[in-house]
Amino acid sequence: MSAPKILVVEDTKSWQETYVEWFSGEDYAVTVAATLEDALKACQESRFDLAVVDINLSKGAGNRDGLKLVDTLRSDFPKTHIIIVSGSIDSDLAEQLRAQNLVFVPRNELQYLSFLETIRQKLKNIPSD
Amino acid sequence: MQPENPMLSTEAYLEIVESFIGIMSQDGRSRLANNLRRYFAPTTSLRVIENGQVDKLASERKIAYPVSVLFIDIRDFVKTIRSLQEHPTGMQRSRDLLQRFFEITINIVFSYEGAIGEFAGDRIMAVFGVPDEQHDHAHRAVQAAIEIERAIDLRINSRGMAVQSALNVGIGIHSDNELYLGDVGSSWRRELVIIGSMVNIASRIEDLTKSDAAKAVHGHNILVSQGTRDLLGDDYEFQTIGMHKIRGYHDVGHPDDQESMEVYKVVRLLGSGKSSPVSQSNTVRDVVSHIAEYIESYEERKRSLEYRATIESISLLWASSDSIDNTLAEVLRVTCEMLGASNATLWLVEDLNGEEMLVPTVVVPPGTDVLPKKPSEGLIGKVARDGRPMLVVDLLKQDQGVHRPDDDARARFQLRSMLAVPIIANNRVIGAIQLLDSAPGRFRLSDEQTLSSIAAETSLLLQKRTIEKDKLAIEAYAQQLGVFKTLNTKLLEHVRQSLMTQVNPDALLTEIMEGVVSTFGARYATLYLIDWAQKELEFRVVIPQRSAENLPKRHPFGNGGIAVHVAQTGESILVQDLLSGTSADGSAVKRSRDYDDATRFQPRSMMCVPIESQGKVSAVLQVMDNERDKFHDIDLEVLQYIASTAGIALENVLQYRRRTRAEQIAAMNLMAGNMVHHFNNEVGLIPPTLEYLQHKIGDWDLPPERSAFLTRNFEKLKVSARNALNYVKIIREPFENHPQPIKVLDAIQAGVERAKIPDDVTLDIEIEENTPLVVASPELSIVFRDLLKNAVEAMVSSQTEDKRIQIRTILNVDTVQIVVCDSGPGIPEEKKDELFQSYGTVSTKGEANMGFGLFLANFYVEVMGGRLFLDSKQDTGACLVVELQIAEDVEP
Repeated sequence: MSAPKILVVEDTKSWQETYVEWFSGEDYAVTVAATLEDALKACQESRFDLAVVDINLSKGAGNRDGLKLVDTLRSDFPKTHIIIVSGSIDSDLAEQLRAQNLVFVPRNELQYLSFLETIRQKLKNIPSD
Repeated sequence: MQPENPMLSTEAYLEIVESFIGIMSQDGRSRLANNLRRYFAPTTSLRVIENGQVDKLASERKIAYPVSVLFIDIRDFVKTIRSLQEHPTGMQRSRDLLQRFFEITINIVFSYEGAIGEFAGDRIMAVFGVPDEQHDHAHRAVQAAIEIERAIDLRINSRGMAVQSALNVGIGIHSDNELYLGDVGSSWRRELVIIGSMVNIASRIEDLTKSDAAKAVHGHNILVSQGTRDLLGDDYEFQTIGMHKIRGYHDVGHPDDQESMEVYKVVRLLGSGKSSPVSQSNTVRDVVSHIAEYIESYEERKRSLEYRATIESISLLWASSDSIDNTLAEVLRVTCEMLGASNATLWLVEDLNGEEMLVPTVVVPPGTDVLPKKPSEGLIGKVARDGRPMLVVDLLKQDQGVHRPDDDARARFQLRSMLAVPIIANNRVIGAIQLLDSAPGRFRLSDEQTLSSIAAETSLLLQKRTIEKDKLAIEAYAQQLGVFKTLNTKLLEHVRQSLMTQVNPDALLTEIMEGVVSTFGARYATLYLIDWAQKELEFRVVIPQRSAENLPKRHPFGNGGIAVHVAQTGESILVQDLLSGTSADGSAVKRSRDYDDATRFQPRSMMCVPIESQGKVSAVLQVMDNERDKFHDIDLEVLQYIASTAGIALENVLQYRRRTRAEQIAAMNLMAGNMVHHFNNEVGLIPPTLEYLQHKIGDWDLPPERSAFLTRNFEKLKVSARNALNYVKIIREPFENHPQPIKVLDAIQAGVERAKIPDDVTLDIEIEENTPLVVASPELSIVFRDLLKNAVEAMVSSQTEDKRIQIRTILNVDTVQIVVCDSGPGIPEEKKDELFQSYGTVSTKGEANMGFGLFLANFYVEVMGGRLFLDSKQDTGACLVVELQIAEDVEP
């Protein structure tokens, strides 16, 4: 069984590096995409077991590209698990995402150990190639 | 059918037209131009003049296209008049009734762009389709007829003006192309005549409304000919009243029955109808017709009134526009038109590559090539340098010592006269308006006054434009800044200062008041704003301004006086001689000594009228002079008109303020959203990274004390970062200003819950259940949360032993004051001024400094249309007062 593949979709460099550091330490294969376009391209080239998706993929508030990616993943790659991370405090949106059974982690509440644990749980039952 | 320019409200348009026609006729350029107003709607008259059709109208000619002729006649007019005559004031009542009937009919005909052909006793003829062809002339005629009927019911019958029975009218309409139009008569009295067989036919159809055949059919008392019926399609329900022999009518299609025509009664309108009137309310029509009357009876004061009308028009324009740049262009275009200039430029002082230049920002006609100028160049440079208007009667004869305007441009357009005024904001010249025309002597000194008023309006517009530009710059800036810079509260302060900058409503009111003084040739004029809460008059604008120095700022109702009487009763008062102590109607007058003593001026005549704004008396306008019998009834009427203008101006200011507020909120929210995004992104990384490092410490093989040290410090840093994140949550509450009636007690209780008040603080809320609802946003609870947190913080940090917070309300006439008092040390004198400023920091304890909370609380309350202030009467503790408007007509 090869290492589980994780797609990190995140525009902030420091967070990209952090995720790579954390996931590599767990022996996951990590691919990073900074924009919606890069992420869609990566999905065409490779199948991912899990995607960590930041909702806002631009410098200012208001961008929702991450949600577009989530829609695509759910329709075209239903086997890919999704964890959504967002820096914006929007309780309505959080509620909506949770209602759709999506895992949503507010960025200001993100903790290293519990985050890794969530990922481990998601990847526990992935079928082997 | 709307006026051509969508930027201009109908009211503004009509009034400008009135001014324009007034100017035309005053100049003696065209007597017929003035007469046109008798026949056509103001808009049509202007078009006739503009298109040079006056001569064409004067030559008799057959109209080559179909039109509709309408006759209207009062039923049983003689009987109605007789019954009125039995009344003691019968003569006056009859005159009023007839006057009202004419007013209604003419205004409605004009609003459908019809022409008035003739009056005869109680009968009026109107034509739709002249002087220009109207494809929907029949629709306009029928719509106007229906509306006239309705207006007579509403404005005559429902008010009992006809006394014994309702006033009824009959209306007949005929459409055809048998009409002759011309301007006939002698040189001193010229009339527009409309003749032709179709006029006679329409008149006879109107006669038929008295017939039993017509009375037998239900519906409007409006009959139309077959010709009209054919043009109206399915928009109305008609019922025939049969074939009728009509003299003068020959139907070539039916040789057997040559003189008979089928006549129809209009039963009702189906659907929307195709022709809607030029949208203007009755009030506007009334105002316009009143202006016309006043102008006629006030030749010598005419220009003054026109200035006011123009200023008002521009205020309306300003309040109704979407884009400021478009409005500026529109203001310049209207100004050009009104003052008869062929070219105009709005110059703004701008920094071009480090050099201050006068930049042509708007030009009329659009596309005219005008180059930027140095302030040292040309006449316009001189106007900007000196900050004073300049009028040049003939540029060709201008003194050689003065720099000329752009020689090329002048040669190209052969411009001869120039009028330029500076635009001033905050005592600084920010630009200038320049008018040019090819005729020498085009502009007069009085035009300079008008243009200066327009420049003052333009200045307000430009200030608003600056706010918008700043706002965009700030948004861009906020996006560029890094996290810790974003926390820099100087930025927020900058935003606050830029966004909260308001135009000064006094400028507008001062304009109006100066107009008042010049209109009546009075010595003094005062505008008092009424503070209903304090029961005081506030001297808001006093003309001449220097006389205000000696006056007290406020005048309590208790001191009495005429202005107080006017404020309280809403009555207008005219006093012909204050020394004899009698008013125009002979009643006794009590004067306020305050005013006279302070100014040491002996007023003899006085007028005093209320100003209504948003449905209530909000101000009082008083005009005085030291000659007796200076003012008369007609003056009082004019002053009342001006007062209504002032009311509109006040409402415009309020409306503008509300709109600016909405923009401020949007900008604040956007900026706060960006801040939170950056902050969470960057600071949010710290806690999990520290946690990760803590987790890795074991791998690093460090001595135990080093490990313990790092673990401890990582933990501390994590707490700080989490506190900082929570702090951002505090400053970022999405704020949408949706004013609505809010129950004060609910907002306070929600605020208490959110403030998490410690157990050792005694909270005492004395709010009665029936306290009226206030106008506020749901975010009002945040305001109370911040006030409470602020109070708790003050008591905790000063180690107050007996910690108490008391909340109570004070009910005023139209506001509720919610007072939040604490038992802390109070606000030190030196801190009072900066109480609501922002200096938020994260303290060493990681707690957000509540100075920031009061800044936001103040912002929120202001946005809700209320105010937050410190009650300085308290000896101990601090009392902050939130004052909000009562939500009228809503039960608590």
